Amino acid sequence: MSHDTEPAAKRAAEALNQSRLDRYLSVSVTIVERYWLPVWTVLVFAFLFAPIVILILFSFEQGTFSSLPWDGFTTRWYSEMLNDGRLIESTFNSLQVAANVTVVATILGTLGAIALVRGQFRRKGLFRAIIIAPMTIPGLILGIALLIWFNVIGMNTSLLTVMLGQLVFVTPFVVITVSARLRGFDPELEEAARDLGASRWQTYRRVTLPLLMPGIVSGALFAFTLSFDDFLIAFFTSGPNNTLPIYIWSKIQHGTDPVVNAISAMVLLFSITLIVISQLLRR
Amino acid sequence: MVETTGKINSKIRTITNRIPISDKFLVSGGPILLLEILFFLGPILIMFYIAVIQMENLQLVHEFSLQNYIEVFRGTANREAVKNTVFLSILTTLTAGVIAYPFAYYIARRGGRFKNQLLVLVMVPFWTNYIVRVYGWQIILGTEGMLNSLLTWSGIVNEPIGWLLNTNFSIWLGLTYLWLPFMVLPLYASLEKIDETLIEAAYDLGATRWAVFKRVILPLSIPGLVGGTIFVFIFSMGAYIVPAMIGGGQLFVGTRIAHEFGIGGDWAQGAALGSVLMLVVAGTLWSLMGYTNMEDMF
Repeated sequence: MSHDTEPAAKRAAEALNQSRLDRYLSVSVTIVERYWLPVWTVLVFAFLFAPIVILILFSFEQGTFSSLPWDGFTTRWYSEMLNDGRLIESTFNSLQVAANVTVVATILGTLGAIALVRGQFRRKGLFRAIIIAPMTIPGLILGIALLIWFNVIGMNTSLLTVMLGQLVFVTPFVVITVSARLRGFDPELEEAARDLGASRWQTYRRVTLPLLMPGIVSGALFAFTLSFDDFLIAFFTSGPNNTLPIYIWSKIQHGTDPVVNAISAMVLLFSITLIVISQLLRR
Repeated sequence: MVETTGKINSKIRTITNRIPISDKFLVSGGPILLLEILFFLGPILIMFYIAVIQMENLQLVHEFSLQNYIEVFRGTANREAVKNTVFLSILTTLTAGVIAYPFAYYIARRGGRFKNQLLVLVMVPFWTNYIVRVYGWQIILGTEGMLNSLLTWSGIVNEPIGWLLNTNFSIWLGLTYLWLPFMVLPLYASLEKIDETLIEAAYDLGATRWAVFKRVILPLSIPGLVGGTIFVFIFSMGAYIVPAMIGGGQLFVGTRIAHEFGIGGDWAQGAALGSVLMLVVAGTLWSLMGYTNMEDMF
């Protein structure tokens, strides 16, 4: 009897252990199952934002090498940045190019969206392909192709050629943004206005355009950012003129530079502001 | 009499209806069409033309030959660059897909109230200057960079890790980083559209989590996955900034092209490389475009 109880107790203890282990395992499996997705999401966000956060932090770092440990807080790089004449000039160039590209791309893009959504014509597929293709080809190819083209047709490269080149890929983005909006609203609204005696132009100005406005504005902001950030087209077609990304590029060629950190932080802040504005307008 | 005028009227109407359509198209679609013909189709065609002539002493000579194309695949540097670029682009596309899928799924289907805010957070890097962001990686990964100084300072490694920057590793990391949002956004769009009742129905019929994923969610998200693949693969193949800034001297098609148009001084050879790249882009688009809707992605 007594030598029978011993293995039984052992077995019971084992079984208890086993069930405990099972429970731990199942609990940890549930924890993993429940939390791996949010943890993954946080990690990917950390990956996406790492260089942005690091740049902003190091733009306030005293040491000239952007490395740890932290040497101390300074705003010196920002004041050095403001005294850089070539930086101011290239920023001005970039703003000028972006403003022009935005106006032209927004007008052409809105018209193009109307043709794409409302137009009924043969070869619409081809029209759509010609609009989408410039967004999908790498900027490098477009850059060198434009360089050859301007050379062949005998046009000197300048800020004008940069604008023409950027329009090629910026305008389609406006088309897509506006046409999404255009598809979302009921054509019957326009028909109702026509039935109530409005002329075609009145309908367009009082009904179509106001309804399209949010799409047009976010398309315009998109166009501005794309143009302001563009490096590849400008790199090949700007001739002797610098835009801001080209200036940053030429500075980085000589290794890390704390002034570049400050410039970068400002550029990032500027873009982020634009996005926030465009998102607020989209609502 | 009444009948005939009615007939004539309706005839006139069909004619006038037909004309405004083409008129309207010329006004609305015409300008952008003209722009793309003059500064997109024209330049691309001229690039293909330049690729089959020669450049001698910085002058284009109109002698036709396929020598430049042969050089793309026979020249040692070019061939290695093509191989390396294709390898890294495929690797980047796979990595981006694996990283982006659970991420996009979580935002699209578990994001709840914060869905839109989270999506804006994804757009922030997408909209900010890429040169600046790649420069950020240069600061992080360099031998005296943030990561290495952190690792040596905390005693995890004794001396800085050298392969973090200016290697195929850093190109792979940089490309994955740069094009990740292009994988996330189309995936998000297609995952968000999936009807919750389909998933519930599958569970009610006794499907396991894995079966629901494999048989319901994954097939319905194929358009997004294909859209993301198109973008990431094409942009990786044509990348220049990443290999030039954090790729050290690693051979890459993009840097070869820029070299030929810069100090290399052989535009014809650069155009041939560009043409091959363009054909890869067109082939990728042509074979995959049918599985996705590009306009849905923005």
